[in-house]
Amino acid sequence: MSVLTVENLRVGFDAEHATAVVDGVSFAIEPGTCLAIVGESGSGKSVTARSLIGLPGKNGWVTADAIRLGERDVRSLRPNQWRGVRGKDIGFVLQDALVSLDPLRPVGKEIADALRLHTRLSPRARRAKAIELLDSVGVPDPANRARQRSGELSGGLRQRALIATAIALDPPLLIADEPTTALDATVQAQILELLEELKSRGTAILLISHDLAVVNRIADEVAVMKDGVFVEIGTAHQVIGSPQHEYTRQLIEAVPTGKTRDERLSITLSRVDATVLARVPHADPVPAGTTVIEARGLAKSFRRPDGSHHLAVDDVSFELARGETLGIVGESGSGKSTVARIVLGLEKPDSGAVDIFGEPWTAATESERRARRSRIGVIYQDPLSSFDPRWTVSQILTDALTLGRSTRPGSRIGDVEQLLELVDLPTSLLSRRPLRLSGGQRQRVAIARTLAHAPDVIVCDEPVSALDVSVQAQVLDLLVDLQKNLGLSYLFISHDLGVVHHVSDRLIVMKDGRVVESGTASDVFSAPQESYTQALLAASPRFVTT
Amino acid sequence: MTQDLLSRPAEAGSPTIERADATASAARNRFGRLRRIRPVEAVSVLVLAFLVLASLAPTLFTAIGPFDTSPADAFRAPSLDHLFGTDQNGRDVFARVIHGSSTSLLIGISATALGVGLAVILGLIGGLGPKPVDFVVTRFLEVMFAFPSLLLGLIFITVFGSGIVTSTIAVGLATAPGYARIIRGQVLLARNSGYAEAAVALGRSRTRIIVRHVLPNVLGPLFVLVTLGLGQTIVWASSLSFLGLGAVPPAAEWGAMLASGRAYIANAWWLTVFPGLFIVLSAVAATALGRSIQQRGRES
Repeated sequence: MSVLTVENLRVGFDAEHATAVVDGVSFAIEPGTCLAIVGESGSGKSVTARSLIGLPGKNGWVTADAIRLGERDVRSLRPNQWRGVRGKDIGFVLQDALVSLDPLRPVGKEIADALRLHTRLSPRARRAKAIELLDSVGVPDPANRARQRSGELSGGLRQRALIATAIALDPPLLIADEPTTALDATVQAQILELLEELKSRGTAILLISHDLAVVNRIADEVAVMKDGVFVEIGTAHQVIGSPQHEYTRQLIEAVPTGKTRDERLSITLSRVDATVLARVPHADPVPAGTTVIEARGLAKSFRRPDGSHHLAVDDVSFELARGETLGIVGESGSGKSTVARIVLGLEKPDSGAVDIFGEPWTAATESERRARRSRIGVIYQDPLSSFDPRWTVSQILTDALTLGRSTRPGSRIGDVEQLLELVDLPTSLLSRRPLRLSGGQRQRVAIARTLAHAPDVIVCDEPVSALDVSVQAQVLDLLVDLQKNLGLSYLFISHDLGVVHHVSDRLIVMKDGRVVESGTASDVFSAPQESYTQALLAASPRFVTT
Repeated sequence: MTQDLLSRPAEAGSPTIERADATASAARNRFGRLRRIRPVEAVSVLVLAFLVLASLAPTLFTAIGPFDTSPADAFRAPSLDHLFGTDQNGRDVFARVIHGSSTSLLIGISATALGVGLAVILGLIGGLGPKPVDFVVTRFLEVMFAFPSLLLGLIFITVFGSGIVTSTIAVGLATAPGYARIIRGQVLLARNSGYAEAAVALGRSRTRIIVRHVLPNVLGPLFVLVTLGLGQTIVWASSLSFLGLGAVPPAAEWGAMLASGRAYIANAWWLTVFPGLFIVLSAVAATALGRSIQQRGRES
């Protein structure tokens, strides 16, 4: 008998019940199996998950022909009855454990809370059970960890602790909404293994994700969701092996792992063409093969709150030639972003130096650097925070174009429109503020801003890791197009080996501030020498079939 | 059969729906909501507009002067002739309250302006200056904070004597540390923000970043604080007058009127109720308006 049966689920947020965000979704989950709902932001997958625990959101309405938890019809439960269901019959795991766990309470207490609400265990028994649960989700040294707060745990441990709270009462169904999206690849692999193990113990899992490659690992059934409906549902093997729907194919296409730069990821063709490019501001052409950036023996340490020193970057050297892409791969804390900040001249290295076009860069003063800053651009992971929230797209781009010279507003509109065309955005966005743009649009505006001052080299610090897979594909394609046409050099930083391999000529792998491996992208990817690189590669999501 | 099950406000916050068209319509809704004026806002604006008008042109509302005495009419209860009654000297309370609004509002506004002005200077020096300067400013503010604000004002008056001007300065000084701390925090936030860093990476000078990014992002939220603070300053200024440290009778200032009416509170309630009502009204209107603007800022 199914753990959960849903028939014709509709969810919406308007008073008239006219437009549904989730529009007629039906599925069932058997014990010990995993159904994955895959789709992009806004497809309705998270709303579906939240509706199933009675929390559709503010002003939400839910209708359905049937929602059954086992035998029980849960459609007409009152709020207090829902509280009895949550935790006990359905466990819920959210994307970001840092915000889901109370930062001021030890994680052991959080787990014990679930037990206190639903069982009659004594406080002592609850504590013991909490430690036992932490142990069962693979947290090392659970007795001590139980006393730590969520902020003191690493991302992976935190997510394990959150899963422990969700399974504390041994619910027959676990709903996991993007449980691994915020995690490094190797940690993600561990969490997926944990979910797999829960599944083998008989728990039914509803997994929500935007990444087909991730769900491919543990899902028995896959439903592909778009605009509130399932465009395709079937066994994982069917859906991923022989996708029937165009959209599913698009999602599979978008996974960059194992594809070279010349293979396009997105089906949408970019409109970037020669006529646009010819009108784009160009820097003085730098001859091919010239060294653009040379970094020698970079080192940087930071002081920890307790006064001890933490070596963030330790003896890192590299060269970047014109028209080339150098990838830097590493997990959070490996020092790759510090390298980016040093290269951008935002952080001074303790020792070592960076030269740009053969001239000293980090050794120069800021006012000397300022004149040359236009030659080096930057794209951040989180474009939103890099925009002044009060400015519109038009203001952001005009400001970047004027480069310090004050120009009458409006006189640059023609150039601004060209920039937007270059990154394939409609001019209707000009009057919007960044907050009102989608993630992909924001990143495109960030790229346009950087292109405005015609840089020779762009430092890309995790430019696509905040994006859905299909949007990531479009942005990566755009970057590749721009490089081909403008002769740009990229310093491309990412935690995702698949992405870095896709865009890079050469790459270096960083761990704990040091370079552990370097070489051409294809060499490192096909025959990694270091065990760390091998682990990264193994953890990188991809399809077994390709 | 389709059945409606959860058409009630849910317990948690709204989920984000990021579909392009959904975002567009959400933006439209939001603008729609922005244009719609809430009753609270309408009332607050009306009250404030009335008070401003009363201070600028009191004769529009009353033909009687604030100091016109008529001993024969002393202690008249509110009636059609004397809306708010008359006091011990037969002066019309309504006329005095209306004429008094200019003094009270002027004290409130100039004290707020003084406090904010001082705070902007301190906050900017602390937020933008080198570390040692910031250290000094921060410690100074902490010392100021150690005193209750009104006490700080009282100390100033004790040293420089009472009167309208000194009480205005006193209230201004008393409010400055609070604003300064907020401004310093905002400056630091903006200075260390991603967009300030992006501007550095674009090759912008420090001055330009401060003028184009830091200042606008700091002063925007400040506007709300000022509106909120205005109500408080009016109350404080009136309190000082009530204590006889600001405006003194026979001046038609609300706090001073309250003080002189206190002696007759048992048999002439209108002497204290109406000036008090105006203090409350102006403070509530300014506060409600400030909150309202704050809320809108959060929503958009």
